[in-house]
Amino acid sequence: MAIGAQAQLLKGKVTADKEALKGASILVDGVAKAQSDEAGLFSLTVQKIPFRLSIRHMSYVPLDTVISSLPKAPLLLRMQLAIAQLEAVKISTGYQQVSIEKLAGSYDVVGNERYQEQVGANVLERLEGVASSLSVDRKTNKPSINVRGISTLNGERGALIVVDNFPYEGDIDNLNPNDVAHVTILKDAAASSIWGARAANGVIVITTKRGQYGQKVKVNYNANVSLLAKPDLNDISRMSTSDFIDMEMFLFDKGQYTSLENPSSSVPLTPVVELLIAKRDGNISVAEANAQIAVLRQQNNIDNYTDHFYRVGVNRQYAIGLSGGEQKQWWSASVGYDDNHSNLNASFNRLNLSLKNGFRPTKNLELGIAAYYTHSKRHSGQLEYSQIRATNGSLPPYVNFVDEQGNALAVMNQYRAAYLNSFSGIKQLLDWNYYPAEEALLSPNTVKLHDLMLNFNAKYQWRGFSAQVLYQYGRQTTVNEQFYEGNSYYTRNMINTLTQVSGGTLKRPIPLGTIYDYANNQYSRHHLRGQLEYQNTFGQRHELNVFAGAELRDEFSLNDNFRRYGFDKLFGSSVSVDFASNYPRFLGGGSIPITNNTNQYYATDRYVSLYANAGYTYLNKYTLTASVRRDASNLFGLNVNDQWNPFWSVGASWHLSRETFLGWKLDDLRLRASYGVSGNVNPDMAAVTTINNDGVSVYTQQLMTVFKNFRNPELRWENTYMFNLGADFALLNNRLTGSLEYYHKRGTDLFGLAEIDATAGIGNTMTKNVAAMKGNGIDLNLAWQHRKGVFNWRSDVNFSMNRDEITDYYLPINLGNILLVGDNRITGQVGKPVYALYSYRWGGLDGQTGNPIGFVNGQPSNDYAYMTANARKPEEMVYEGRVMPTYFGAIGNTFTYKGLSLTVRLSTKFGYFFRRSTISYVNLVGNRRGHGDYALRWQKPGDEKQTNVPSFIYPLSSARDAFYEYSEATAERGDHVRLQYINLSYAAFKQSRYTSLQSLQLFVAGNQLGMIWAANKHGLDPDYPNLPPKPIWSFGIKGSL
Amino acid sequence: MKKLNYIIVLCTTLSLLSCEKFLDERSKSNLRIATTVSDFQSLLDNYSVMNYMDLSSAEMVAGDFYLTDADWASRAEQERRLYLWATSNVMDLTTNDWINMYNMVYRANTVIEGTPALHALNSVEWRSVLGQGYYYRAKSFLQLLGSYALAYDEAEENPGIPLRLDTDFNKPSVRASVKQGYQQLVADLHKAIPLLPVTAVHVMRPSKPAAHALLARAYLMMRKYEQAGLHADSCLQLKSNLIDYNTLNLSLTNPFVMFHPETIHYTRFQNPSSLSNIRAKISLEIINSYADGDLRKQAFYRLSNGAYAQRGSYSGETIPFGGLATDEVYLVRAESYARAGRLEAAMDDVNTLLKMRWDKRKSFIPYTANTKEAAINVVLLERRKELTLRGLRWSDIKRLNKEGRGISLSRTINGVTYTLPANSARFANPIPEGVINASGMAQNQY
Repeated sequence: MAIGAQAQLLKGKVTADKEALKGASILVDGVAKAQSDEAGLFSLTVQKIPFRLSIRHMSYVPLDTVISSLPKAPLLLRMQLAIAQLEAVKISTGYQQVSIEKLAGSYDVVGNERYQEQVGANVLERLEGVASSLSVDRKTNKPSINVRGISTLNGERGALIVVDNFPYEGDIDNLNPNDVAHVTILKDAAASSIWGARAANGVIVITTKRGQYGQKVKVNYNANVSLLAKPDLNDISRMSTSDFIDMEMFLFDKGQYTSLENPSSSVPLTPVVELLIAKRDGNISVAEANAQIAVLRQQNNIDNYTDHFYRVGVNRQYAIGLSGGEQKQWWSASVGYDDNHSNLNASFNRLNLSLKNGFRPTKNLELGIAAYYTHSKRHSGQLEYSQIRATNGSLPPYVNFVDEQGNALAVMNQYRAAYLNSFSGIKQLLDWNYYPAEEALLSPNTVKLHDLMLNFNAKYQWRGFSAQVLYQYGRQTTVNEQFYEGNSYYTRNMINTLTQVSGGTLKRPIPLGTIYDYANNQYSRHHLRGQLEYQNTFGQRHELNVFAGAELRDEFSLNDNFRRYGFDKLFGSSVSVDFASNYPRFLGGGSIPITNNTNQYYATDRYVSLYANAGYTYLNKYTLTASVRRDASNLFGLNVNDQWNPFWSVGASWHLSRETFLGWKLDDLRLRASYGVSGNVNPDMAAVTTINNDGVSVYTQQLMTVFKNFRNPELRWENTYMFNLGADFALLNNRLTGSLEYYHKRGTDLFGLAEIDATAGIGNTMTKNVAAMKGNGIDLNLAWQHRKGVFNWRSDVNFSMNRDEITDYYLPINLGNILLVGDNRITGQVGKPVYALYSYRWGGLDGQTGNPIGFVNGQPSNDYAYMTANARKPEEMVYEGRVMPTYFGAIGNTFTYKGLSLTVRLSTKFGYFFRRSTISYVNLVGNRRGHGDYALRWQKPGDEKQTNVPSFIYPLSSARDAFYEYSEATAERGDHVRLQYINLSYAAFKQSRYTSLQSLQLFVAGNQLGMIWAANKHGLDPDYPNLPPKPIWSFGIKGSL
Repeated sequence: MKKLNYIIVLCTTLSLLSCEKFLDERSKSNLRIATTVSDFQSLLDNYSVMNYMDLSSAEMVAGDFYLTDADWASRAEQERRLYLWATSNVMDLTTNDWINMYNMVYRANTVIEGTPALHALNSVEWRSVLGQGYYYRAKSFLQLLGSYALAYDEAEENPGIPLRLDTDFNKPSVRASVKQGYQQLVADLHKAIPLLPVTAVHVMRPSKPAAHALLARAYLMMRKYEQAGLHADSCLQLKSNLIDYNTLNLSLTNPFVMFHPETIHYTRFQNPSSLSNIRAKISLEIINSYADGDLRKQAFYRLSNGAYAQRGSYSGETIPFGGLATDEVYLVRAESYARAGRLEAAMDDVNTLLKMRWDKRKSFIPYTANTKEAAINVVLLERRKELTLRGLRWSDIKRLNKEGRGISLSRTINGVTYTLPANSARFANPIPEGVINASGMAQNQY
């Protein structure tokens, strides 16, 4: 190989479809050197040989070739129209497949490779910490995914999920994550406005895998097993058994339980209190009582529970996908199976099947059909620790559930043991004891689900025009069966409660045997979309893409519930009971009817939408876009004017790196700007007062109702205006790629709960348009690739900043303590974040009494009732900071050495505050909810130097507790760094000509690995206010043939 | 070309029409607008809102019961404060009598506003449901005035409660005077009486005798004794059943069943923990007033650990009864007769009642009275013995003090005695602070 020292001339011609191609970029070793002219010709000089010659044109497949010797004749370079290739570059907005550079909006794409680095049965779980701007909110029971923060906390909270062009309303657990090809997140208004009102919290578009025309048969397979470690219940701060018993003894001396000793009182008392009563009354000796209490002091039911209820969870996942295609058709098929067993031995089995087929009967017509079927079954497991309670509160920490022989123990629940014992002579009564270790096994719950989804589409193309019809039919059947077997506490208690014994005769209005609750939900939907599109290029300079369409959506769900008594599973028979009568209660007096649980109702949701979108590109460099959409629905009680609300957006982009006047050696640079309006409707926005069924009165035998919505003509749509600026770039031979975005958000008429005068008669809060806000943020994505022989390093960073503040609050606010519930309520202080954390000013503890010190008019005070009453001014509260993270991001690194690959991903959240839990004496005494902070309480002068936990006083003061609970002493910084996941994989097999096996990969992955650093000193995980999860370790293989 | 235009116009119109129809489908089968008589009835039949929410804050501060030091100490802070007549922070912030009562008023107003539209029907059901609307509004106002305002006085303009007469919740609340409040509820009950049926489907629903009985109670609290007697009489003309306590099974935990024959309208207190029969001890003053042979002592109370507690509430439950029963109406008529100087008629009513309370095995000596004062005293004494923990005592004290009886209250906790002198401004409970702040209304002054 000759290395030419001097410059040599290279000439060539670029053609496509046998015609000269103008405007193609010619790159030598990645550096742009020339462009092809009208005749497709170019010439350039090269310094060294060999070199890599690259031809780039956005409508054609990139062409790369290594030139090791200069040809004599002009080089002929034939470009292929980029149809098949564009599938990979194009993104899906749910309405069109489009090259990202023809868009001006803000999109994030999570590719298949990144997506599959994690293991798990849920489709959305894998997005956390992977996609920028996306955060998961776990403050509510059901975690919700939000894009760029939350616009409002009312109504639909989470992002809209779109699967293969249609919004997905079914259970997200029905989807098979191994079918996911890629995920696109629509972040700004220009991107999401096409989805209308439901896009207020962002849109996540999931595209599933499919075959390609002319593709060889390909098989992908995947099998893995995950191990879920037992949770550690001591991760939640708990009071020690000894402290708890001391507290009970103290309260016993104070007479806290005296009224409950009344023979007519059925309220359960704890074992220690019962021992103290027996000791006082001389029923057992002092020594015996003390000895028994000493034994209890050694017990802690956390260990007992962990040993007998928890096990290591095992999840197994298998998936196989096939695809292929010929000239006129493509097809794909997949099967997935999941078999999960949780730490509490609850099981979840899921089978996914999918079949897809596309074909081109003629040149202009393309047809597609897809079918997805899911069958899943859930079976309940053991009770959660927190579910094992007595009706009047938690259980004391010394109450065990299982004895040393492994027998289930009876624990306090609804009635005092002594009270129940007084009826023990009545033999007809069933055992009235509660055995938590058996209860869940005797009251199993199963949920069986069938979900079928059919998609059809037909597209006819004629010159630049195309007409497309898409239709989706979905049907989901869910059957929920709850059995309470005859020997479950639930059933025994029900039967006993209504048993009537008079003399020797016995009457049981509720028959012996299983109680069976059946709930059937039938859900079906039709979704029809018609779309016209025109796409053309005029004279090589102008490119136009316009589409407009209309959609109809009809969702129907029917719920059918009933209950059977004396149910026999085998025969399906049951015993009829009288629901219309009242029966005297065996204990406690009064009379009640038998629970019926039989009802049926349906819901119909209908939507009509019209939308249009236009994109225009000039010289492949300048792009303008616009979109508009209107939605209407049959949402009950909406004013006609409110039914239709328009959303629109405009955008522009400039492909700067294509400008010839720039001498930069950038591989790619594109600037974008967009502006758009989106909105949110609130279900409370009713033009009429509506009422809702509330059962049938057993007294008047007539229907009862409750108010659902109150006519509120003052409610308006919440509107969000978003301006977005972005830059996409590629540097250093495409080794560094990324995007940087800035956005500005303005919201008006935000929905929030407003304190109202309870005298109006509709409670003390209601939804109003309470505030206006503005916000801004930055999203940064960087990806770095480094290749050096057998060693590769890939790194990506995403970082987001999100700030907002209230610009106007429409209501007078003089209710200081409302600021304290900032987690889910707009705090309404102009200039402060929309959701902010406030505290009572904390003056430490009084050195003589251990009382917390607060402030009234700047003076130390202990008038807690006044300080915590809602008459206080907001200025008297201390502002701590934002409730939502200001900064969050993740960094992922993948190191590859030959076949070995290690991925480590860290995520972080910064700049926010949370309120940690602490001891509340009212909760402790009232319902036995303890907290480890009890041990840190002030007990003697001097303690105030080490602790902020107030002394335990009796009688209790709820205001004093509330003051401490919401003071500066319990506000914590939320900042932390988390190890999101790691993945170690080994490519055991490489493509070779001797076998059809294309790849085989073995991997180990770890998820939920916990925090590696946190700003708070208590080791609390701010993302998990309850029990933080334990790591999940997965092992598996995947490959393709 | 013209044809094409027509087709386009036709198609567009058709599609718009069908679109509207498509969207007209009702979205939820269990959600609707109240339009029919039975819809309005369904709002009032919801017993957990209408019948189980009687105001308890008046009974909490009256003198029928007391708490032990230990039980007092074990109660929530606001309940402890209310018990000792504190002048602030005596009500729970999120759930209290004020909120419950005005929720009832809103339901009643929904019915009063909505049912006239169905006037053309003029059916029995329509008349009944409208009458129930007026009845419930009056009942709520009467209970609110009893707790949060001073006694009715023709000559005074004391602040009462806001009189919310429609469902517009954006209207600000303004406190009307006590006098205006009573005038309003009397007017409502006068409207209710002709509309309500003599017998309701169930005693959970108001009836004509219930409206008379409630009006009699209201007039009594206004010290308009003549009208009180008239309406008590009208009630007893329609319903006068009394239970013979000899027929009760006094060995039962609670000898009274729900909806027993004396019940005119069944309502009960919103569960107050201090008033629970395991804590509330009946004042010895009441216990000691029962003569030998009076079955009420045994039917109503149980002795445990040296103190008496209620066991037999007219509710048939452990929660005290706050509704209307015939025994009260007899005593209202008796008081009216006594104050009018019809001594014999007054004593007849008292004796009619007492005969049914007396042990058949013991001899019953009928009451006689020679003077008006003596007759009134007999009636008032029997009123205390018969109507313990029925939510009436607080209002009775206020009106009797207007008659110059100078009743003061005192309670002792941990050796400290707290006294509420007769005619104190504290005979009106403080309005919940949250309501005062949200509405800007004036708080009661102490």
